Amino acid sequence: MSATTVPFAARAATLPAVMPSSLLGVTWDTGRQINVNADGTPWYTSDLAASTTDTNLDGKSDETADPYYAPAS
Amino acid sequence: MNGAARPVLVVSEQVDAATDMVVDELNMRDIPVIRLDAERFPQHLTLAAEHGADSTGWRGTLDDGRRPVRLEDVRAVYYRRPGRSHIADSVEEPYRLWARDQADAAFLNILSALPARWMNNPHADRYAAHKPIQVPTAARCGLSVPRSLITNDPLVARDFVRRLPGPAICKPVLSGRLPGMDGRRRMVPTHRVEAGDLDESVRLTAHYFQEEIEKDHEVRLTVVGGQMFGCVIRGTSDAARTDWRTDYEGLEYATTAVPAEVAAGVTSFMAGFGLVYGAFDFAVTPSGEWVFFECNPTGTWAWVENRTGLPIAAAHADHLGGRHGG
Repeated sequence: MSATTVPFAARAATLPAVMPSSLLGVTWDTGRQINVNADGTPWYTSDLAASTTDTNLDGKSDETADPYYAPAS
Repeated sequence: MNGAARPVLVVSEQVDAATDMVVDELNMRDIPVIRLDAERFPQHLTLAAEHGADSTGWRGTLDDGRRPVRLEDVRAVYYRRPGRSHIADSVEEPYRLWARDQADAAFLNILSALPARWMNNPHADRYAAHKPIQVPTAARCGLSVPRSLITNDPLVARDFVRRLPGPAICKPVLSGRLPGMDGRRRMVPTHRVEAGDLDESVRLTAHYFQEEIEKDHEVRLTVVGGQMFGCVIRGTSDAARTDWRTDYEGLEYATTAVPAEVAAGVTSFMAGFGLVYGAFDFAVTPSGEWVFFECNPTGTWAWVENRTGLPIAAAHADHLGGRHGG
């Protein structure tokens, strides 16, 4: 691919940094409607819960998608 | 149904720490919550909304088989990056795509039409998220903004960069997918550019250039229902100082008060776009001036609370629960 077919800004494209997050041992608490650790404490209190970059933990980073896409908007 | 029993409807993916924090806060306040994900509609969620000839709003139910909610009872909607409707695999194309569009449109817009308080209505998010609209709006609201250029003309771009008193940076107009040859998604970070770098490839699409703001530090300002939470972010590496999203190991956090003039500008910005929630990025110069970069209407915030202790989830519950009388 020659450079003239790549838009200038896109030359700087890089793999995004993804803050690690983990659902290891996490289950869904139907009554409280939140995710909990094995000991019943809320998952969000874990160091590996609140990623800055990976809202839905799909490992693809929020920076690589349009988070404002609302299909019916 | 009395006001205290009217539920807050939370529409979000099931795995989302920020939503967990808000739901837990509402639980602790004994405010009824119904949490669901749009991706469960229509296979696992049943919507029935009727509008009568003499009505002034939709009436009916949204039922996940466990916690049915009457639409007319919903006091507030917390809408945070839910999935898209998922149509049964047995439905073949092109009917499947058509069916998904129908489901998406009905689910979102029935909810949007409810006379409930929102955080945020995605229709407002969509418009407010665009940087070319944000910059002049922020300026009109009294916020300092960087000199900016959007162009596909390399000559204009070179002239702009040369006229700046300091370095220039390039950033994407819009976050979006850029898959590599290996199929992995890339991002285009904010990066420094020189006038001599700007060639004919600028003509291939729109490009966004700005003056680089000399920073003492950055601030992620999270605004929730009028409450403001300032989080100082200090980069300890060159990469983190240019774009803090690129080096999370190279960051330090603290809290800060918000200058009155900045708070006033942010309040005006939020009102102009109809936003209740916003995550603002500011640079703070060595002289203490706050310079607006952008506002993320669905920006992440759980990490801010976890690192600083700022009570952001509680502010969500204040607004959604109607502490101030809604």
